[in-house]
Amino acid sequence: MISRYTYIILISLLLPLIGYSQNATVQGNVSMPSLIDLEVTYPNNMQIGFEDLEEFAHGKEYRNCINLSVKSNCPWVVSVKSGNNAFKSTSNVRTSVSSNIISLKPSGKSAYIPLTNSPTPLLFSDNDDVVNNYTLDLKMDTPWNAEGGQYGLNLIFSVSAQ
Amino acid sequence: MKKYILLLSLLLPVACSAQVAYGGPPSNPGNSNGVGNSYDINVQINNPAYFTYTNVDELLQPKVVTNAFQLSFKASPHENTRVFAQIDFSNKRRSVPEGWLSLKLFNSTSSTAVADNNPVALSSYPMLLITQPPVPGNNTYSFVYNVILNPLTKHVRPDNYNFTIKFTMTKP
Repeated sequence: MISRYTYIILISLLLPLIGYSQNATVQGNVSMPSLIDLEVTYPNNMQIGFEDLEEFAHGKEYRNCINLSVKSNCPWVVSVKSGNNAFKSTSNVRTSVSSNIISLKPSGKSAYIPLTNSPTPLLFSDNDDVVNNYTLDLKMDTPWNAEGGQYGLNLIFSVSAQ
Repeated sequence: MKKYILLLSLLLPVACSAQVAYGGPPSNPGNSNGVGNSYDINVQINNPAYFTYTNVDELLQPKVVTNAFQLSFKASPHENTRVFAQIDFSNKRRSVPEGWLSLKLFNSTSSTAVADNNPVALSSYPMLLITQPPVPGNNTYSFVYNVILNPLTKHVRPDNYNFTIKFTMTKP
């Protein structure tokens, strides 16, 4: 007669064969460097100017005049500076117009940031999306002592990881 | 005494099952493994699943390692054989987007298996990859997969992300 211990051992050996699984693995790797890109476009070619005395007296604002597209895999900050302290005349006028008559702000925000020739933070990533698009508003104050003419200025945008 | 015998009878199957289920880590990254008995699932690496981003626009496009690996196993003559896949990233301190990697069937030698031709997004939980109905005889079937690194919509911190895709074959 088979003892009850024999049954227990038999059950112990058979049970693993009822449920069965096998494993195998594949290993791999993703190398992820810091990746940031900034694209700046000017929908209206940024030809700005005063058209009458009213505008000249009160300054002029251009809404949504600059588009920024930031692509990144990490938090970022966009800064802006002017290429020079002053506008350069493109029509042989002698007066100098300071670059800080130009201010910028993200559309929808209230505080304008005057341009200087040092990078000034303008936008921070406020979400973790890879692609973010923004528009900027531009304000031009009155250049009181400027001669009539044409002036040019470079705006330099930069983006870096936070 | 009865309690000890009952406990022993319950513990022994657990110990045996764990031993059967253990496939062991591969000796080198990208290498296959398997333990060589008739119930094995085996992996053969054809093209290592190593991905590198070189510019930001690549974040928005899928990257594919075609013909990355081949899974092979013997189909059960009596029951469905199922293969599940799951992924584990070694960088626990970094959050990794769910479904960052997918597997896509490239080709297979089985005409009866139910295996999704669409990419199967990998998760930390087992996802059903293949259901092979019972087949008389002792046939071995192979399934070749592409590994896809999916486009990103959210930030993934700069780092080196090592991953392990684990395949579990079950027979009821």
